[in-house]
Amino acid sequence: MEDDVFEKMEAFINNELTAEEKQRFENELANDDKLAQRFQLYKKIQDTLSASQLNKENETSLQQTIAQVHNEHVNRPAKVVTLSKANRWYAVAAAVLAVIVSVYLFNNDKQTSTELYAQYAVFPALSGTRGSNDSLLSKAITYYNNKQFTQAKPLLQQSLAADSSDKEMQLAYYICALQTENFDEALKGFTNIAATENVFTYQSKWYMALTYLKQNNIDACKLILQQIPADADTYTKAQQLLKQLD
Amino acid sequence: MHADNKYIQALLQNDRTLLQEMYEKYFDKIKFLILKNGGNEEDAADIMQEGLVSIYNRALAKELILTCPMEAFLYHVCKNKWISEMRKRSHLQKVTFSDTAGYTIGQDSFEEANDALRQHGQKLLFEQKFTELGKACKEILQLNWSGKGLDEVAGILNLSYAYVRKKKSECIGRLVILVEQSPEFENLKWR
Repeated sequence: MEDDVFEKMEAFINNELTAEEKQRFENELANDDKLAQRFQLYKKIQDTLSASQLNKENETSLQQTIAQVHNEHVNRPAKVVTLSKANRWYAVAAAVLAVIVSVYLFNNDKQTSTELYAQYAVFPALSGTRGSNDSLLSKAITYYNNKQFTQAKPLLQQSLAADSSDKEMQLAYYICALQTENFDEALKGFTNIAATENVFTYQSKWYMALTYLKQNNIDACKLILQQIPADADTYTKAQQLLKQLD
Repeated sequence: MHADNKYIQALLQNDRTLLQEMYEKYFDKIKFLILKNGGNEEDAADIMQEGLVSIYNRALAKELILTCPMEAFLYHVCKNKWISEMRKRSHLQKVTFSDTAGYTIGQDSFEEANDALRQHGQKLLFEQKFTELGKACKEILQLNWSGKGLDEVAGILNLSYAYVRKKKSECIGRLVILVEQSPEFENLKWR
């Protein structure tokens, strides 16, 4: 019984009723408050959830920016961005759907690794002032911290050409390479930094894994993640990502 | 129009610099309010994020023009969010709340802020009820709402168009009933 009513609502919204049926339904709406209220709710649910579905990506990236800004503000080291409680179920539902759709479309793997990449591509801001009064470098840092990697990359390159000793700047340069999809350059750079024992060794490993993830090379990504030891500060998120890749 | 409308634009454009500015200016006050009223740091972070996102969604749905400072607007939104969270946690309609910040906002801003809260509350309720649907309903609705026509959805799921069409209205109908039966329904005056 009730299902018939909802079917009629849907047909009414899509303008699929005959003139006579339409007139009858309008009369029913006018004379039945409960029905009219239900009809409003039916439309509201559809409008709200379809808009939210279409805008999902934008809302998620705003949430990520907020989470990053928050983390910086409270002075904790950048951590993995979490979705708001409201959206956790949605992420689960989306993951379920992704699996279903991939069965039908066969090519949905890429989408999944892209999503994971977006979730983990959080790059800590560079600290502002360096020893010398270097305007080239400070410009580069500003661009970098604003996520304008295309602009930051050539400036960092010039700056490193003059003084290549700063490992943090090297790392930043290769992150720019990664974000501008110069994958070979990025991989080579991270591998070099990770080859020697220094404070950035396991950060570099982590970024190597992200580079593979972005290229949808899941096997290589996993392999690198497994090389991050339990005492490294990137260990927790490495384990988390490993789980998500399984 | 208030100069702080730049913050509304900042939310719509995901502007990191202005978001940082908002955190500098407002977060400590929101945090103080939450900590003073039984919440912890994590609650403060959640409420601030949800407050900003609900203002964002409100501005996305319908043009939002601030006529009061962003600080007062955000504070009002976050405060009311926290009050409803306290209600939820304590299972009480009335909660004791202490607020000494003394912001006042005009009637129009008050209504805009409440509108944002109501809209956000509705969205959360719908999203939560959606999770209670069966697998087939979720598939059909998500595909359709992500911009695929029902004929396309039928093709992807290997079902007949007629079935998908009927099923879709049944599924939304099921959501209507779940929403009507939820205890939150009465609190979110419908428009």
